[in-house]
Amino acid sequence: MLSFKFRKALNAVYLSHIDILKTINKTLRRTHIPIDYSRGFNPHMLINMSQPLSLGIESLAEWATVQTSYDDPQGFLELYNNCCPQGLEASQCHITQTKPNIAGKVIASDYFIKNDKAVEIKEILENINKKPFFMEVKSKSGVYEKDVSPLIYRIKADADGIYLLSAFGNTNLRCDRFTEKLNQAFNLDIKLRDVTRLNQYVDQNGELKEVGEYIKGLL
Amino acid sequence: MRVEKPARYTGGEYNTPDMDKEHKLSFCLCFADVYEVAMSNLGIAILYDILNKDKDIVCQRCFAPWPDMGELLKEHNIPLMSIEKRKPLKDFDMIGFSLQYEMAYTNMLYMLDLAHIPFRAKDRSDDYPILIAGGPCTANPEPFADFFDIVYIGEGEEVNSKLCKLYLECGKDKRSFLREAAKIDGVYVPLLAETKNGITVTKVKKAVIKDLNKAPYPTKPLIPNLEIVHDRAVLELFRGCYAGCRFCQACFFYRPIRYRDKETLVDYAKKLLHNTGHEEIGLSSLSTGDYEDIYGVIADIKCLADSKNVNLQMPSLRLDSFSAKLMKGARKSSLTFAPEAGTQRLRNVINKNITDEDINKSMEIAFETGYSNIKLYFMLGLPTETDEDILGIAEIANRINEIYYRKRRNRALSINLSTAMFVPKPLTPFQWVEQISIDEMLRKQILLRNELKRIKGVKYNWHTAEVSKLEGVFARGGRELSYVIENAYNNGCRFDGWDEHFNYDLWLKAFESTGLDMESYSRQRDLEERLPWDFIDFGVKKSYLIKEYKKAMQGLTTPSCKNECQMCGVSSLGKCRRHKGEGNA
Ligand code: SF4
Ligand code: SF4
Repeated sequence: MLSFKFRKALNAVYLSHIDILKTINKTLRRTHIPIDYSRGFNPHMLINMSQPLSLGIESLAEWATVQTSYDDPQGFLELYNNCCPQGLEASQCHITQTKPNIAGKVIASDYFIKNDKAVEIKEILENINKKPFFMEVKSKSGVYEKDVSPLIYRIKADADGIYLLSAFGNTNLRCDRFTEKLNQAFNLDIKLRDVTRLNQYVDQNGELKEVGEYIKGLL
Repeated sequence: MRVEKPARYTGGEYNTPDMDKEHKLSFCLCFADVYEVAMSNLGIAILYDILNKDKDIVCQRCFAPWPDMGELLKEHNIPLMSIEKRKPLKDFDMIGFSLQYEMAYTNMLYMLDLAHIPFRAKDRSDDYPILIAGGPCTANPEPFADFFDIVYIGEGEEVNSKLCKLYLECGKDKRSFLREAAKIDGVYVPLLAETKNGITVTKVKKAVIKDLNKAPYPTKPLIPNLEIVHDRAVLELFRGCYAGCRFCQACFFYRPIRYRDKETLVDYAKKLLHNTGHEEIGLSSLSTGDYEDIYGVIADIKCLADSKNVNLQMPSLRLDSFSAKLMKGARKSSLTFAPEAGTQRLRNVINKNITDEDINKSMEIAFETGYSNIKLYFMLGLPTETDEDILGIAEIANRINEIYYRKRRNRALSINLSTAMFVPKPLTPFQWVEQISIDEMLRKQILLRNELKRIKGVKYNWHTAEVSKLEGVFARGGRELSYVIENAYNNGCRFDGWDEHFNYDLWLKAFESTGLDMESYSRQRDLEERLPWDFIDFGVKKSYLIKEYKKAMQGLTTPSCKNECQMCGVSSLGKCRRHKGEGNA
């Protein structure tokens, strides 16, 4: 198994999840490393990707895992980065024996939200999850107001902006909607392009572990 | 996000050439439809590749922004810009539009409008870029000629570099550049052309690439980051077509018939698979099954593709060149056939040399190979067509059904039957014939629809009659139609090729306010009449087209020129590749 961490930056922030998947797929084909394909008439690449990120948000920490016999992490980074379009460059690569199942295990993600006004309401922001915080969420059954405070794990503000650690994975705080709500509630002017995902975390014995560290533990 | 699919405008595709290189000429390649359509066009990929390979040129792209983006640009008064470097269109030296279908004409104006560029060549000073049109619509460039400084007739690959060189020599003096440009084969300068009674008379000769093997080919094409219409690597086998179906403009427009050798094709396929990462590779040409060694090409490319887990998309083949050999090992999706007409009589008239027996046999093979999904294409409103011919279409569908259910099958048969409306096109033996009225089109569609309702498993799709009508008008009209296009655009017409945007009433209004009678363009033309595109020498002789027209009216067919030259006259522009005997045609 080969897992790699890549960014979604520059023009690529506007690519939908499915387009990212296809683009990464083509990039991997261009590396010409021996990747495994499903059998049958319509073989497809055996690849797993991080859960979708909202369109327009930059990320420094997306993950993909492919099934391959190729086992040179450094060689992979070179090959991949030579073959990928602008904005999707890889920064880490790990080879493991077992499937890390990143998408299934991730429970949190942290973000930096650039904003110079946030510091003025530092107190309020940093205590936002101490009491119910309602936000509009969309589900199959329609749109409703939901208390999202349990999904906000930590929030800090300083002169540069906001640092948010929140639920991501099967339960998810959509960062685009959350920033929209902050704008409404506190009269901020956060733009989507000011939001950057920094890392994704899995739950390991009740503690958050950054995905790269978690995979290294599987080696 | 205020616009849908922002990736349409952001660029950053893999294989993007160096956009920062020192250059003397900046070119913006435009396409009057959205990104997904534009990026599926091989002509665009070819020109982009050639221009950027030139050490003196940087070529960028600009495609029609979807209305949401267009409105945003207008609202903020931002001029339309190129994808690669966000450079306003009006700051380029040259702008080239590839015009693929008549219904894109308003979109071309939409782009000029957003780019803050005056529509008409005569209204643009030397400060504006040189505007060039190319593409299949140049078979009759008159309806849009007044908007352009130059119209390329024929293969852009040939003309482009000559024009760019000349431009560099002439500096910014537009007049002297245009005067010199007009001397190049394939270059039509509407402003300088002589006209008689409103019809252009200055002769222009179609530009033709002599040797396709030596012509550049984009083996490192841009790889879009979002899904486009044809998301695959494309290999062009040959240009032109031997068949000579009498309604088919592409057949005559792209003659002479020129091949890429198998070795060249295999070499390109290797490079494409290496450089693109596409999951699929397709073979493209007008009638791929006619390629001399098509089995050999398919076998070699299939082998290459399999080794890379790439799917070879089987070309849609003519019924008579259909063979079980080609279908073996292909992905069993659906199979496409285009008999075009329902009876043998009418197929003779249009010179579609397919017999009922061919259809039956091909279907038997197809069903034996495991297909249960058939796509059939026909045309309605063909010259001499009677109701009997239309009922014949239903009969074919019926017979296919009957053949399928002769045996017990696991799956139900599904037939997708589509009809297009016949549009008389310039440079075809049918360029003189009448186009039927919209009422008659609708009557024919309903007749067929009612007939098909009785047949199990048939799904019927038809083209909008009004669109076909307008296509016919713009295919054969003259320069005066530019006022209708402009008027229609000003009324709000754009994206006319998209059902959800097409608005026929706005077009009717445009004709009304310009005082032109739409119906007059649909009439039968006299064989002696001077036609708006007669000033172009396409190689194929008018006398040949007249001969073909007369044969059509007598129900006589002309064999494919694959084995024997039928003397269409195009050899004056270049030699054709024929299977037997290489003599001069
Ligand atoms: S086979 Fe007929 S319809 Fe097809 S490209 Fe050739 S001439 Fe045109
Ligand atoms: S010159 Fe002869 S071989 Fe060539 S396209 Fe015309 S008829 Fe066919």
